[in-house]
Amino acid sequence: MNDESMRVLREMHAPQGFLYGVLRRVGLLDAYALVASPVGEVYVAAGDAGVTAVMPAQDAATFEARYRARFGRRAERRDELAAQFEKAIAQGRTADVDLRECTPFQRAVLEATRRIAPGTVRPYAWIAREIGHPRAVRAVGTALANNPVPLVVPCHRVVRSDGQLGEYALGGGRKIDVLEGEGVDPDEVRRRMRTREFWGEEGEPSYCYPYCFPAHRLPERKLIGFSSVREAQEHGLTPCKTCHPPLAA
Amino acid sequence: MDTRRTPQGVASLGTALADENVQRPLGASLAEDLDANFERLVNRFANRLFGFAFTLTGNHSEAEEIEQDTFVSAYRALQKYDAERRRSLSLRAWLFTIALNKVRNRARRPAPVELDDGLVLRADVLEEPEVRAQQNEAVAAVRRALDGLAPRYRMPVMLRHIQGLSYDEIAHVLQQPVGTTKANVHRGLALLRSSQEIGALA
Repeated sequence: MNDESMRVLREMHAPQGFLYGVLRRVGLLDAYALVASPVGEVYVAAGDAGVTAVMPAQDAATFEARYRARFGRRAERRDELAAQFEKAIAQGRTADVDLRECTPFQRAVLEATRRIAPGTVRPYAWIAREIGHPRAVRAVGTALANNPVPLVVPCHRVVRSDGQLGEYALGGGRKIDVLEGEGVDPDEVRRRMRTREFWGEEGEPSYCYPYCFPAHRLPERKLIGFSSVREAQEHGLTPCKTCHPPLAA
Repeated sequence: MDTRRTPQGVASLGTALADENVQRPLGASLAEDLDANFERLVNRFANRLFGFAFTLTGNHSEAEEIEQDTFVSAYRALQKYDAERRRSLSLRAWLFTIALNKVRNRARRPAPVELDDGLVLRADVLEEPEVRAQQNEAVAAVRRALDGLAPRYRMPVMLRHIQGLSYDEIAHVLQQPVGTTKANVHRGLALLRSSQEIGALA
């Protein structure tokens, strides 16, 4: 134990990035990166529990200021995380998200929204029914408009009951781009939603809401439209286990 | 060797720390606003605690993990403490106590299983290889020297002469009377010197 080794030990520094690691683990610091997405470049931030924010901004300083104002924490730029964030956007349903800043109602709305499969849509009223507040359709719209993690939680897949696309957290005009990017044909969805109450697929045992089918995978000729639940049941069909249409009219 | 003045006479456990004057502002700040001042706490003690964990484990990445765990536990504890308790903490002795417990707990359990679910936000920044080699060498040298000492002398000597803790702080960390601490430091140091003289003669 000579003087030299004592000196080295006394002057030893904690590894680089140590402070960052600690602050991140106790939830005092998040990380963010600029990421390519279906709507162009967006800032994505995450803490230890998962993605906290997906936000377009004109520059990094603007994003940091907005982030701090909304979440009350600092976010530090970590461009090496961009690839992971891009993966989170691509994964959508299975990516970890941190929704602890949301109200319980908003969290329920966002969790239900996460169950909507890519290439399909649901009306606001469907979300309201799913979370057990069938009359809170407008509140569902507000909760989705304030979705902190659009694209990761696919609020773009929630549309109006008349088949119009409605508002979008990242700007109304971008909703159609994201949906078309997933293979949804908004005109076809609108047509089905307006012509029949329920649809079944030829040879399948169940009937569905008109928006349950991925618009790009099923050609129209394989679908049979029904004006009521009674009509669908007369064909011997049972309610779809994914979109949960009513049992009896 | 540490040349700083240390308090004379026997003080009771955990009181009258040598650098309490230096620490008081931070303790008061933590009492006021933990989240805004926690970064200061990490910055002030990270390097010394890292050297401590590195010396005890002899392993760079294990030391980093232990030290991270130490500060995370400290933060969670501080969240639960009221303002008065935060203000009156002997921060340095308290942090070394937590770190020592982490090292001991780790020694008791089998090799850790790395969990990798979801996002991993680790900042992998590589340090200069020469710096790393120099650190490894120093840690190995100190560990070799301390290995020759009986366990009851090892920790007091290390905390006093490498980490620069006061006798009161060491007594606090090791939960023993200050008199015992002092005796063990002196005896340990004497043993170390004589063994090194023997080593030099051989």
